[in-house]
Amino acid sequence: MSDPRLIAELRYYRPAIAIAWLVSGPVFIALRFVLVSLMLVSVGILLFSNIPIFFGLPPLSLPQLDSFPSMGISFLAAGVYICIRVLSFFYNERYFHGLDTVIANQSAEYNLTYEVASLFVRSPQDITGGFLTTHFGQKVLMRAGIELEQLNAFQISTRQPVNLDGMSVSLDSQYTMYDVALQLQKTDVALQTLLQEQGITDAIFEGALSWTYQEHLVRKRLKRWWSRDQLSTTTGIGRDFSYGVAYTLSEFTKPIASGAVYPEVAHNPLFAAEYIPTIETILARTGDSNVLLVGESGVGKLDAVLAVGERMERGVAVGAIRSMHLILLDTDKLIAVAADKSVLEQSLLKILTEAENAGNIVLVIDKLPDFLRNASSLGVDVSSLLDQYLASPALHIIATTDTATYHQDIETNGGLLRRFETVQIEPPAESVTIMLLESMLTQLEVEGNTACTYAAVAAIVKDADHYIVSGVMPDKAVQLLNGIIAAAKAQNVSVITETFVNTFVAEKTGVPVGPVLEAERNKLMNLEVVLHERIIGQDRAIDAISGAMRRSRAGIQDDNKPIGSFLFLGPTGVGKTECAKALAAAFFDSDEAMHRLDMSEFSGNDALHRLIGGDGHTGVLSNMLKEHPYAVLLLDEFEKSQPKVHDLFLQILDEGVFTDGLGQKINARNVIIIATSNAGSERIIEWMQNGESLDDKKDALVDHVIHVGMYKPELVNRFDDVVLFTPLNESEQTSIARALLIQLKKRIIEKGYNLEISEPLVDAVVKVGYQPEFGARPMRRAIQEIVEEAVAGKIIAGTIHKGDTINFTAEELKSFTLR
Amino acid sequence: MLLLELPAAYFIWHYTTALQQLYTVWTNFVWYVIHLFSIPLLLRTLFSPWKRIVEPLRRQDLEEIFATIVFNIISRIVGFCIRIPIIALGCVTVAGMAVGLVFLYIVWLTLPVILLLLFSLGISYVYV
Repeated sequence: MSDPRLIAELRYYRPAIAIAWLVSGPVFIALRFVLVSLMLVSVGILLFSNIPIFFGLPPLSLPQLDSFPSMGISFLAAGVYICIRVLSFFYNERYFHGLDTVIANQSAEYNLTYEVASLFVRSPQDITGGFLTTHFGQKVLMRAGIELEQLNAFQISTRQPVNLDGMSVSLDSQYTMYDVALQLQKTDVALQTLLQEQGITDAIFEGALSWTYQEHLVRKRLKRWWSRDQLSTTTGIGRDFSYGVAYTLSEFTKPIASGAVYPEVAHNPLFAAEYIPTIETILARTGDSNVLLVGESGVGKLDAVLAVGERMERGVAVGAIRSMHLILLDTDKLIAVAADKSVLEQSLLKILTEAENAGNIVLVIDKLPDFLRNASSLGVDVSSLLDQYLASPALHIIATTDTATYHQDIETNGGLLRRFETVQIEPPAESVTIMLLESMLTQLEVEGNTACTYAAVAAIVKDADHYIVSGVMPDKAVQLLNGIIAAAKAQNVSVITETFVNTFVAEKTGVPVGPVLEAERNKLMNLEVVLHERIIGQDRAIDAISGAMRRSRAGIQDDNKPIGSFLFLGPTGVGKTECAKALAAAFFDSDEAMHRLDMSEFSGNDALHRLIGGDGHTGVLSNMLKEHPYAVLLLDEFEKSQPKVHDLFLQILDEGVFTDGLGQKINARNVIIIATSNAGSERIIEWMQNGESLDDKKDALVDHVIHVGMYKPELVNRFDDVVLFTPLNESEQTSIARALLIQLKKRIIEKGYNLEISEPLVDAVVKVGYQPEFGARPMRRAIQEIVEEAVAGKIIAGTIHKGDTINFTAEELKSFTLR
Repeated sequence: MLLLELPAAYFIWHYTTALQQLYTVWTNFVWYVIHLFSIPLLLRTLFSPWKRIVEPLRRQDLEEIFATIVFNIISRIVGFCIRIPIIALGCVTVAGMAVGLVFLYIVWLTLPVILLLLFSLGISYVYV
């Protein structure tokens, strides 16, 4: 160690490290307790034995107490107590050195932090080993996903340690435990191997480190209770003396936190930083100082309000509103207690007048359009009543609304809108949501007696965004987190991992989430076989679909798109719909998970309106996706729908979401979209009849359907794959006939009879039902109209009895013809 | 080795940096007291009406105008009467803290002597 600056910095911290070595935290607290107790007991005995002197009596002489040297013990205990107290002052000075560099951006004399110095002094030969014995180091590794046993095994393993000389310590700026951990991760080969073996990526390690470091800073900051930022949390005694009292309003209020998404961390500057300056600046104006927060329900509008309110209470908000209070008007209660129009008008006017006269109130009206509508049902025009108060410089109003009702009710009310400055609240970025959940977990982990890894938190945010279709972020993530904590508590899970999160989400949604597990791996690897159990022929199509689905599940594809999207081209009756059903069964474990839209019904001018809704009505597609967010969506005869519908699907295939006619975002990222089309089937049949191979005909067919104007090229390109379904040849039709007869046999067996499926029977059915241009449909019809009818005839005529096997004679087979 | 460095480092700190830091922490508490008693705000609004309880002056007869003025003056007097004790209490607390700081410095500077006295007295009371 040759860096003189590092030596000087370590020398500064060494005495404090000596104190920590001499007396650990719990010992210090116990010692303090013992010394104070000793002093109190000694002084108590002294006073007790001398009380009679005050009454002119001789002091008490108790043999047991006389032998106790109260005075001496008091002095000695006081001496020791003062010694350890001043030593703790000394220790604190070094322990908290540099904290303001982080929280208030002030410069510090020494750039090492106490924790780093302690690590370097105590464990100079094995920095990683020392790091992993600290509470900080263990927490980082736990958050990263390393279990305690693995950590212990690593500690005792033979490895090449990184010593202090091997560390490149830059003292140009603060050098914290965060920097130490990052450097160890980059330089310690053994640590790198441990992380790689456990599948911990750089991003996960850095996320875990950053989270732990933030927690450490918050804890350290709270410990320093004598700093101004901690002392400023108290509200001043006389700050409301110069303001009025709104008595009526106090009857109609409720806590803002009750409507917030994550009230316990609403003060988090990460979330609120974006909105606080704007909201405060508007409120501090001299006129029209009203804010309208617009954002989807659950995006955190009241959380932003709460953050501003907390700043007001602490007296750190912008000057003009520093001493004000945020009060949430309970509009539901106001409407409920108002018997009629005049009562509501009088109550509201009284509340507003009192609030204006008080002079220090920022009135919050949550869901303003709902209030306007409810009041309107009693015949009260709230917007005109509010107008003069909104214009008043003495009253500030913050109102909230969701996007749909904003467009519907507020934008159309110009008089009301001009009194407000609109602030759009957007869902926070993924990284901010992760940090919000991390802040929430500080409390939740204690309550749930569990711990969460960073990868689990990242998975919660990702899965909530991707797989939970109702609601918006960050509310979805917060709800999912609460659900997962409750599940972990119920199952006695001590560490919530990414796998636990993925399993929880998969069970909740029915969609496979996270890494591919054994059962699903087998299914995916054998998808061709699974699909071929139900589809006869169409090898090329099934190969293409299976490949695309494997790519999707492997996570290679874009997350912001549907799970898969295919355009099935081919003649009728060749297995396009059956293939969609087979995919639904393979991916969502049920044929019922396939939902069909006959797109030929959406060819009129109102097609788009009917699909996505509008004018207060919901759309067919919006409803289908809301009710069945995890499914196969089959768009039959897609080419027959209106061009505007094609444009809608351009967006859905590209982004996985669309905005419906009511202004709500509809998520289509968890569906497999299959559009089917008979377009170009005459060409396919023609090529087949000419004996041409279809292997290189896909491009020609796609060019054809684009050329004739059925589809725009950009729409065709948006699909994951265009799949050609070929007409079925006679051998394939024979297999289909056999499969259909087996299905019939099963039904007959259920009725107590049997059916012999002989080759002549199969041949007879194929002979009648084989029509290449119509696919398998005539075959199904042939079985229904001929075989089923013949079986029914035999049963009704009583020629066969329960337990008998039905078979057909050659004459009967010869008579098989379609009506 | 670490422990051997402690006495000298502590002694130097006790008579240099600690003196300045005691003052810094003391100013934090003074700031807290001023903030707690809202002294600047109460001084700025010393004669403001109590809780904004005032009657608006309307064009009425002289008697009523006079009554309104009297009412409003009373409200201001009430406001003044309530604010003044709080300001005074805050100022007394700050003054007490100033005296406390002087006392603290005296104790701090003479702490080695005080400790010596405590230990020697303690030992003499126990063993004599």
